[in-house]
Amino acid sequence: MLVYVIRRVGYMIVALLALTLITFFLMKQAPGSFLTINIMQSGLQTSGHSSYSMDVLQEWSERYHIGEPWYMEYWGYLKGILTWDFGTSFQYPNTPIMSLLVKAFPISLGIALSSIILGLLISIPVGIFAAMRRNTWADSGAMFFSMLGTSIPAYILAVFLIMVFSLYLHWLPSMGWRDLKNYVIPVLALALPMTGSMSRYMRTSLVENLNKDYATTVIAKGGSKRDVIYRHVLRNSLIPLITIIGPHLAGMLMGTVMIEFMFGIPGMGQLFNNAAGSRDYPLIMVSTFLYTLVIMVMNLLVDIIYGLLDPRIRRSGMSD
Amino acid sequence: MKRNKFLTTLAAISLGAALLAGCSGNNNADSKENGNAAASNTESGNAASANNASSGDATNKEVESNAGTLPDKPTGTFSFFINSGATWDPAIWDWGGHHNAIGIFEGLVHYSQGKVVPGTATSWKEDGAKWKFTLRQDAKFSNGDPVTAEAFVLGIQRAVDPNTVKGTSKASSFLGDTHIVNYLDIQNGLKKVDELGVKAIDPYTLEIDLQEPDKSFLDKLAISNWQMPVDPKVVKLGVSDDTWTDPAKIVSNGPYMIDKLNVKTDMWLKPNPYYYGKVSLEKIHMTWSTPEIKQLLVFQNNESDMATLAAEDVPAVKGDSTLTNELNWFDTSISYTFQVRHSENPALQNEKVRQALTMAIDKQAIADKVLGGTGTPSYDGSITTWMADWIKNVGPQYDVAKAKELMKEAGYPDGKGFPTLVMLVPGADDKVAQAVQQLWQQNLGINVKYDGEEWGAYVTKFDESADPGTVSVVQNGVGPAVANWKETIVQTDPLHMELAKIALDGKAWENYRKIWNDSKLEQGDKNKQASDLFAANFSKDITDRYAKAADAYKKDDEAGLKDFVSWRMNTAWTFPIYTVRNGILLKPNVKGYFPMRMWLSTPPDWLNDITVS
Repeated sequence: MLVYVIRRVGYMIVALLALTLITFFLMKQAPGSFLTINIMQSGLQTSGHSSYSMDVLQEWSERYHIGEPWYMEYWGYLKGILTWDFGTSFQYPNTPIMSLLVKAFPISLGIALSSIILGLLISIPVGIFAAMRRNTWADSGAMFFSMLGTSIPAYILAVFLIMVFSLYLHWLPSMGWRDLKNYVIPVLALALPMTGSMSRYMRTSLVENLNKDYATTVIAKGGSKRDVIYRHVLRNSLIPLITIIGPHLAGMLMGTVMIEFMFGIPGMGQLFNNAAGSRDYPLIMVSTFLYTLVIMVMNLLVDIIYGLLDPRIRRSGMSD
Repeated sequence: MKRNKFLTTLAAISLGAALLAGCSGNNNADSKENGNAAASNTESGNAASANNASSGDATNKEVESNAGTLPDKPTGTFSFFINSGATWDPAIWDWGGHHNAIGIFEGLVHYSQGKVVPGTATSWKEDGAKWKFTLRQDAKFSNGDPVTAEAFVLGIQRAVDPNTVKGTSKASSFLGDTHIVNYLDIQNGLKKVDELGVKAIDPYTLEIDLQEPDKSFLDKLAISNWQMPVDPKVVKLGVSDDTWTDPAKIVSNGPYMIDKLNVKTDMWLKPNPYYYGKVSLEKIHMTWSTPEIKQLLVFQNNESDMATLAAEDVPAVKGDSTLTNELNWFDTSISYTFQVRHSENPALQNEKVRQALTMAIDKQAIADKVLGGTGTPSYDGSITTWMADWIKNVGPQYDVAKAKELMKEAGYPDGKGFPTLVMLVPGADDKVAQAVQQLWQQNLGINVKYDGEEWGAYVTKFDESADPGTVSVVQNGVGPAVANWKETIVQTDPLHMELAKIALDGKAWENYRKIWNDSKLEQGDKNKQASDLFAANFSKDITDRYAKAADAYKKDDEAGLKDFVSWRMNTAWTFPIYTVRNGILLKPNVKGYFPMRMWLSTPPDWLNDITVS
């Protein structure tokens, strides 16, 4: 197991290095610089603002190796990442990047995790319900709705939820970021589409296990369907579900970007998008790096948990 | 006096980045001395003003004035959308500064109901280029410290001092063409900041020395952030740090102060307990507007008392009688235009071609059908129809037959032989640009290519010459510095003669770009070299016209100025399409909202005029 984890971490480091290099080149390829965009955006183009760009440029040149060969500039960023000293961004030169991320990341992560948990809380019972009533109208009905959930994108669902809960019922705020109420619609919008695939996984996995000999034995010995499911089959059936949670969480962290925009939520999506749009190089580098790191760590954790739940995987992982 | 042509990219419409410039002019420009009007702010701006009356739409109505009827105690919450700020340091150029100007700080004068009214200064005297302001003695900062002339001196010095912005990635608050004695030399590091022409004569008398008399000085002051006082006990010269984003540390002197701030989302204001006059609202909630937030939905859910309509919202609102009653149309001063880009190909150097292009655009149809009324036809980038109605009659008119004839005379019958015309536009789906493209193709038979670019790419390409073999126009947003048409045309500084720059031939333009983009040159040297290059290459006809106009301005010769405007429009170097007009929904219990028309988003011009019952 330990060897497996060490090897995975090794791959991660290589992948992260490659990622920073790719991000760096793509970012430098994008036309325009923070200064030109900032000047244009704020209408300073012709305002005759002397000494502005020169002063700022000089400061930045020293801090970020601007104007030096690419490898020096890249090393500037890489050094920051390696020493975990991210410095400040172009847009907010008074605020360390870390404190920007510390504010934004928990918001995105909170939304993503709540959505997954809510998704599970809905999917598992629906899956069980459908599996217990296999091939009845209740089964088809539940699966139809989960199918519907999968096919509707989160942002469309979000508009629909706003219409219902904000516009007609006036129960929930339609945007903004003030209190717990603001969580509800974004989380629902992200969780409901997820229940489609999750509940189907749950149902299929249950049905498969119910057909296995050990389940038949329990029934033959006089156990009820309920006994079989809750005491024996459920735990085994959860394994496939866990495999899809990892990718879901990764996808979810990206999926919140659109939702964050729609609801004006100050999370990672907003931060990252602003950084890219205004060519805020330090912020682009650091946020891409940390984002990827989190997703990779999540995936690693899921694989480890998977291994813990299923000894066969653990063994094959070690023998790899 | 010079005017600063304030050129901002109006793709900013969609990004919400707007600009500030002077404000609704002609009202106070000539008031030499204001006999201590307004003992308290509650009495200052009466009169619902002619400022909003001219746009001639059935749904256009004046927002009920509120002046003189503020409650004894702050009452109610007003919730609205506004562009986001990043810092509230009045010395820094940022949207936060615009929030400051409408009621977090109070300058010498401010706008209220479209007019310049006394702020902390109760009266003033103009003596040539010298202005003397008498300050009220009961004004206090939000920490209880008195607002003195010294506080104004420090505030203005900080805005000019180049050290203030060092390391902030921001620029100083924009003094524009307000030429306080020595201000440019100080910004360029040639003189010390205490040599600025701003003095405290005594604790309650402030003197500002300008380089030359300025008829629009009060208008410029009223919309400016740099005129704000800062508490000398709290704020230092040469520093702008993160205290300016911390509500607990910001000390201001306006009727409201920042209560809570979420830098990326919203901000709450509360009354300044030490404000000398009445304060109308108990709470103000400002939510940052982004294109993704559907303001109409938020308004309908009663989370906001105000919403700015997108063009696609208009039919829905017009179909709903309640919403229609809550709808106000506010004109802005910002126009969406195209301008000729420099090119090796001389096709657009021909005035007939440019006039034909102008004549082929049906602006009224664009305003009605594409914009749903969220724009009115624009004829001149710096003079809107609400500033001067006659402007619509003096330039080239929509006339397809005439346009075709001009193309024929220029050697391009039915568009034959004309090079591909590339339109550089920010964004892939600009409906107005697409409409113009279609009109040019249909009406003139020329080949027009839409080049929609991501914002950063657009900004980068903006100054570049057209690709070889093509001619090109670029979309731009322009607006005047003050809302007085006579003030918008006087420009004698070559660095700011936009028209002459656009008309420059391709080679001279590339030489200019070389100077401007030379990172080894100091800004002062750049300005000098660019000025020399312009002087040598500008068309004599254009510079003569400008000189004549400047002369007419000095003599207040209206006919001479109109003649200049007419000439300028007929050169057709730019193609103004529409002036932005905001459809703003306001809840019926909101009174006293008067739009700041010089800003693209038309926020209220003075928050303390607003009441919510």
